[in-house]
Amino acid sequence: MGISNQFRDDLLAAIPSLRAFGLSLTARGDRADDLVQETLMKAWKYHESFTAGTNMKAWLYTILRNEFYTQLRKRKREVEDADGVYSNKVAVHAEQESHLDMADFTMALAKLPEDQREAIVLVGASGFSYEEAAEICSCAVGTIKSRVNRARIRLTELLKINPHAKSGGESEQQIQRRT
Amino acid sequence: MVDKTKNGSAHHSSKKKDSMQQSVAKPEISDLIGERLRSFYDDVAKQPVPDRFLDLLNQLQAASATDKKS
Repeated sequence: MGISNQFRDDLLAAIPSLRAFGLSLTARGDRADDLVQETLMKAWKYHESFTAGTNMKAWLYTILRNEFYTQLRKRKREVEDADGVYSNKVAVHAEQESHLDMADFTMALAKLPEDQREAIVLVGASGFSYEEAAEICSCAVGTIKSRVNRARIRLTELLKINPHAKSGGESEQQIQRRT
Repeated sequence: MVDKTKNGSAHHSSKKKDSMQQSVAKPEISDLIGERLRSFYDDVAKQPVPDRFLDLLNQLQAASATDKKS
């Protein structure tokens, strides 16, 4: 059996949100689109492992996320500090338009650890439930909830939304306790 | 004096007040974060699909059509 037009159309329909997810993981458009390209190729290659009628979006996000971590590991071997490179690039870009809230936000998002960033994006923007996000990240629902919470607190601090918030991660353990 | 925090350091108690205020993400703050997050995300998600992906899907489809014939 060939690959149905429906499958192709579903892939096409998923591209915009896959790009957004890719960008929130990498903070770099070129890298985000490379991730999307890999994702589409893998999805096509392994289309038989997708069960029609199940959540295709979640399936695709899982592929993209796996690809992201595979590439991240590769780069970490090449560059000694991939996170530093990531943050610095975003910082330079964001400083150029620091008057824009969005640049501040992008920079703040980039400062989160990957696990918190993906959790808050999946739940807060991609429209996944905690359960779906847990499945995509292969972790417990409670872990996702805790990561989302920590991400929220950290973003609040970074964006100085709460006047009482001081920078520094000393409150993280308390947040974990809350979940 | 009761030392509740076993593994807490000496300066911990002075930060207690701040920590307590930080420990709960207030709904309105979360909403503001959520709003910015969604607008960041939707900014990208509403962009038209770049040609490279349309080309890619066409290539993949063409390749699998060839497979089918052979």
